[in-house]
Amino acid sequence: MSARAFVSIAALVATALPAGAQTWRTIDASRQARDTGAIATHIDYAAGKLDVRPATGPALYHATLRYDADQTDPVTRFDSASRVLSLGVHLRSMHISSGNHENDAGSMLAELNSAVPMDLSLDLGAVEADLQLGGLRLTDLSLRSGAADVTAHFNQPNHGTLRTMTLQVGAAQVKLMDVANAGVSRIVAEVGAGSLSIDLGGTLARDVDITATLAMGGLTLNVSPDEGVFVDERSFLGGFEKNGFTKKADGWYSANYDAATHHVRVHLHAFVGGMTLTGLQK
Amino acid sequence: MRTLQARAAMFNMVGMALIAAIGLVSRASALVAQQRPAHITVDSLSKALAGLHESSDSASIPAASAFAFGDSTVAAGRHASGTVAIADGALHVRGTIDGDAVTYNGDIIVHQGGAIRGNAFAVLGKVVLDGGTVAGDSRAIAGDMRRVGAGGAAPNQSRASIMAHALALSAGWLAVLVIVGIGVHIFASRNLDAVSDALERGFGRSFLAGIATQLALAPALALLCVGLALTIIGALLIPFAVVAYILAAAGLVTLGLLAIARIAGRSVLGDIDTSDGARRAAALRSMVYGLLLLMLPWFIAAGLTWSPSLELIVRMVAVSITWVAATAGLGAAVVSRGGVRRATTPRAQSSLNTASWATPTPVAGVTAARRPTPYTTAAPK
Repeated sequence: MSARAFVSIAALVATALPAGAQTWRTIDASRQARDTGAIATHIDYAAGKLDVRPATGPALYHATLRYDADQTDPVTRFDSASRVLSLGVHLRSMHISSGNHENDAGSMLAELNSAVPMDLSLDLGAVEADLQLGGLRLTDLSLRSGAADVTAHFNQPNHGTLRTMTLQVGAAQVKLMDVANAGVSRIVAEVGAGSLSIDLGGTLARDVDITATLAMGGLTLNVSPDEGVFVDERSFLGGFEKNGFTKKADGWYSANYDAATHHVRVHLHAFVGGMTLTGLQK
Repeated sequence: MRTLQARAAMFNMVGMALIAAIGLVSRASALVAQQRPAHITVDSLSKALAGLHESSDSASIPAASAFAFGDSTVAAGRHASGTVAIADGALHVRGTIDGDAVTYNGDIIVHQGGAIRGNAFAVLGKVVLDGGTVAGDSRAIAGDMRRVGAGGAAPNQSRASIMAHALALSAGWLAVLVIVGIGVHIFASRNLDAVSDALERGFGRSFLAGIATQLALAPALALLCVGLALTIIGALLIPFAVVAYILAAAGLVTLGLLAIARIAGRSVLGDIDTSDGARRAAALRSMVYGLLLLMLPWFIAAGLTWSPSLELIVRMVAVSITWVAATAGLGAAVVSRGGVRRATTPRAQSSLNTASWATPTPVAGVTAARRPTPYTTAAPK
C-alpha cells in the first residue's frame, strides 16, 4: 500500500468514528420552591454552551441540559438537608466533543429562583457562557473559569447584598457588565493568562474594594466618571496607566477622589499583567 | 507495473469503502437507537434501563420487573406507597404517591389535588404539573437511550467499531512516527547514524544512560529554572526555557526510538552494502520495518479488544517493549550528544591510532614506509 493511501485511510478512520461514539440526551429538570430559605447553588460545567438567567415561574430551579452520555453525567440535584443545588455535568473521560457543529455541542440552560437568597458558584471549563445574573438575590458569587468565554450581565439590581464576588480567570475571557447593580462591596480577582473586564456601570450603592492579582493576564476596569478611584499598586513588570492620578503616601488617587460620593479602591498585584482604567474623570 | 498499480488502486478502494461502511453503520445504529420504542417488553425495558442506571441521577429508577405496562392512574384520595413505575403508558396522579414516580415511554401528569412526595422521572416522556405538586425533583429525559459504559465507550457499539478505533489509533501513531522518521532520515541522517552506532556498540550502556537521563530530567529542569530565576532577564526566559527543554527531551527520545527502529528493521532485512543511494534507501526501509515491528504489539492489542484480559496482557507487553526501546534510544541519543558525537569504543580508538601511520601493503609487496619517530621527525638544531 502506498504511503498516501495509508495516510488517507488513517484520516478517514479518525473522522468516521467519533460520530458513532456519542450518545446525545436531553434532560429537563425542575423543582418547585417550597420556601424562601437561603440555598447554595453550584454550577459545574466543563464544555459547551451555558445560559443562566432568573426563573420566570415559582420553580426553585429549572434546568435543561443536552449532553453526551458517553462522556458526561448530568447533575441536577437539590439536597434539601444541606440546601445545596448542584447543576451541570460531570466528566467521565477527558475526551470532549469539539463542538464544531451545532449538533455536536452540549448545552445547558439554568433558570434560578429570584426570590431565594443564594450563594452562587460557577466552575466553567471550555464554555461559552451568557450569565444574566441581574434580578437574582445573590449573597455571594464565585466564578472560576479555565478557558471559557464568559459574559455576565447585571442589567437589573441584585435583590440582596452581594458580599463578595470572587473571580478566578485562567486562560479565559470574562466580561462582567453593570456590576454596580450587583450591590457588591468586595471583588477578589485572580487572572492567570486570560483577560477580565469589569464594568462598574449601573447604580453604585456603596464603596467597592477590588483586590486584583494579575500574573500575565489583563484587567480592564470601567468606572463611572463620578466615582473616585484609589489604586494601591504592587507590580513587577506590569501595572497601570497613571495619567490623571496623584501619588500620595499610600497609593494613587484620582483627581475627584475626595469629592466623590462613592469610591473604588483597587489593590493591584501585577507580575507581568496590567490594568487598564476606562471611564475615569481626568 | 500496471498490474501492481491496479492492485494498489483496488486495495485503496476496498480500504476506503470499508472505512466508509464503518462510519455509515455507526451513524445508522445511532439513528435507530433514537427512535421511540414501538413496543416494550420486560427484556427490552431491562436493557434500556441498564443504560440509565450508570448515571448517578438515574439511580432511583427501579428494575424492569417493578414496572407495570400501559396507562395507569392513582385515583383521587388514594395513597400509593413506595415507587410507582409505569412503562409504555402515561401515569395520571390524582391521589398521593409517597415515593417516586417513574415512567418509561410515557408522561407523568400530576392533576389538581395530586401529589408526588418523592421525585418524578419520565424517561422518553414529560412531567406535567396540571395543578398538582412534586416535592422532589422533576426530570424528563429524552434522546439516545443506548447503553453507555463507565469508561466512556459505548458497550453496545459494535466490537468491530471499537477494534477499528483502536487500530486507527495505532495506525495514526505509526503514520506520525514514519513521517517524523522520513524527516529525520532526510535532514538529520548523520545524527541518526551516530545514535544507531551508539546503540549497536553498547545497548546496555545506552539503556542505563537512558534510565539515568529519565531520572535526571525533572531535577535538571528544576535546576534550570532556579538558575534562570536568579536574574531578571533569566526569569522572563523561564517559560521559553521550559518549552525548549521539553522539546529537546522529546526530540532525543524520538531520535533514539527511530534509531532503535532502524536497528530492529536491519536485523530483519539484513545489511545491504551497495551504492550510497541504495544504502540510504535500505536504511529508510529498515527504519519503516522497525517501526512496524515496534508497533506490532500495539496492533495486536488493538485486535484483541474482544478479550479485555488478553488485551491488557498484550498492552502491558507493548508498553514494556516501547519503554525499553525509548529508554535505550534516549540513552544512546544522550551518549552520542544527540548524534553530534560519533561513538568510538576504546578498542576502535586504539586500532585507529596504531594503524594510522601505516600504508596498506599488497601481498606482492612494496617498500614499507618508515614509522615516524620523534628523533627523525624532530627539527634539526
